[in-house]
Amino acid sequence: MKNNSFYKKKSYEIRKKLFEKFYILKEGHPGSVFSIMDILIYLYYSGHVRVRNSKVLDDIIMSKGHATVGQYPILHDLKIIKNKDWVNWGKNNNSILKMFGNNNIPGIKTATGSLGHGIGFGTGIAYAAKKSKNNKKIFVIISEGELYEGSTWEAMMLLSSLNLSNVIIILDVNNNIILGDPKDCLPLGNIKKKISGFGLNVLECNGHNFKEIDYNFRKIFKLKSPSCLIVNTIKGKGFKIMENKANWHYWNPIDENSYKKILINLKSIYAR
Amino acid sequence: MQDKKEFQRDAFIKQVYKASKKKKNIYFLSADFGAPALDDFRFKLSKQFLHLGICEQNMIDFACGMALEGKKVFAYAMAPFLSLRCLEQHKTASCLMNLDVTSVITGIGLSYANSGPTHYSTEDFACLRALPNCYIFTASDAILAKEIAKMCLKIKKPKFIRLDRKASRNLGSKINTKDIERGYRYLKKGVQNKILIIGQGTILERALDVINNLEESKRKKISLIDLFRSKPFPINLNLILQRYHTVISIDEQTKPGGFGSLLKENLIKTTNIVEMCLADKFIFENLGRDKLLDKYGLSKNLIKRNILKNIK
Repeated sequence: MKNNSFYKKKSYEIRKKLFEKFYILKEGHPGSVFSIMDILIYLYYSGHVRVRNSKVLDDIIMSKGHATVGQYPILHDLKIIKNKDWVNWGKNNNSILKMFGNNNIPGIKTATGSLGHGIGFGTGIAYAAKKSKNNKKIFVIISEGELYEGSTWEAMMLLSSLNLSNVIIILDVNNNIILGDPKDCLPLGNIKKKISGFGLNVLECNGHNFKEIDYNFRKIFKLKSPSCLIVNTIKGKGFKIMENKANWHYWNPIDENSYKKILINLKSIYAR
Repeated sequence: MQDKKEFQRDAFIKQVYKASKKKKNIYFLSADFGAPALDDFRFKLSKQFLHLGICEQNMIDFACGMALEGKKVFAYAMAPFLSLRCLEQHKTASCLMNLDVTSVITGIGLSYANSGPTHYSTEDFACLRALPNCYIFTASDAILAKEIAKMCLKIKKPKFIRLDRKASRNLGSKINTKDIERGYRYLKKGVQNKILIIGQGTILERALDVINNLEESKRKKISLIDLFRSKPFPINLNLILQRYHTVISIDEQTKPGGFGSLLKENLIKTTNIVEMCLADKFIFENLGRDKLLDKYGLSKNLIKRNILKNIK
């Protein structure tokens, strides 16, 4: 494993890079993006998502679709997304990057946005890849909100039945949907028990602790059937202004002073 | 030839099966829906067939995942469920990503006549044609279903194939290349441009019977077009429509957004259009398909009356 300080440095750099874009764009879903950011950083920089000759060989399906923008700063850093697309994003229309992900963007496999599609896509990709003797891995990132969608469970049933161990579901539990904590909306019950009841291996860890994340992925890669890693996260992680705040599901207007203070605060958190 | 009845689904699947024996990247998925011709696929090409459970939504997402990896996928289920139940999957997955997925939507209109309104598919056309990027084909007989299958094997975009449940008689003996390319065929070509009846699906049998039973002097004033590819709308068909004094549209769907709307959207100048379709309501009677068609707006008598009223 790369050392903790490497990941911490990346956590800061990538968050800062994207926050600066959010500030220019004045739109998006920052809460959802920053809750899953450390998982994305781990997957790309650990080498589990392989990059060769500017091509991504393993797939990340961002089923919680509006968090796809979290992949852009990393894909830019890895030279998958062109510099001109990154620089122009938010400044003019001359960029392939959009607030919603789609399969025309380099390194982005699918168009997503509405919930409950990712596991179905991932299962189809994994099945086809196995048929073509391609040993790629497919990481499907879903939110707890997607557990309300029936299609999520339809797909889990099939995934388990086809025993596609090349699919790893990452369930981002940040305890926030648009109207607040799911427990206060429609409780999801014992998620772990429900998912394992569908025949998947279920593991759980802190989604911001790189040692725990690494330990659990290494465990999953040894298993011979599909797995789901529940990652407990903080919505808006890294930004005090938005952490665990339901209203930061969407971007909120901030003035320049606040913007500067937030960046100073971000640096202080990750410089510790 | 015209009296022989064949199932459209068997004609379609046989063609796909034939191609699949040579091309191993073709896959056929079923949401618990069968056909005699599918048995060959299931048992002889079992590595290219998958039963997905009664999960139409997941079937389309799964199919799209496979298509993203370069596979050519056919998804097969009963019409109301493979159209409306997974409409959002068609939009978000196959159409938005412009993928090579063919949805074989079987049992359109009142095909499942005694199964009740849940099993009728009388608004699928309006819903599906609202989606960008796709092709929509509707078969009126088994010969056409076979030709549509051949087209599907070539087109690498999302496709909706609308098939009837029943075995239907073949309305034309063969289809030429020109018809295939332009997306429609003449089932009758009158010598005078007075009345054009245009529609899709097996309801055209009724229109053809009515025309054939008219006296010669009237018959020669009527043309009948089978518009089997409604999307993309054929180039220049609007110009042909405008040559006629009256255009009668006929389709086994309800009116809102249906076949008549399609024609109106594509006409440049005003033509007298008479829309023949099903009443905009849920139907509960167990009368059988023929009686339901008679009762709810698609009787042969009404077709005849509309012709005679407009013939000059």
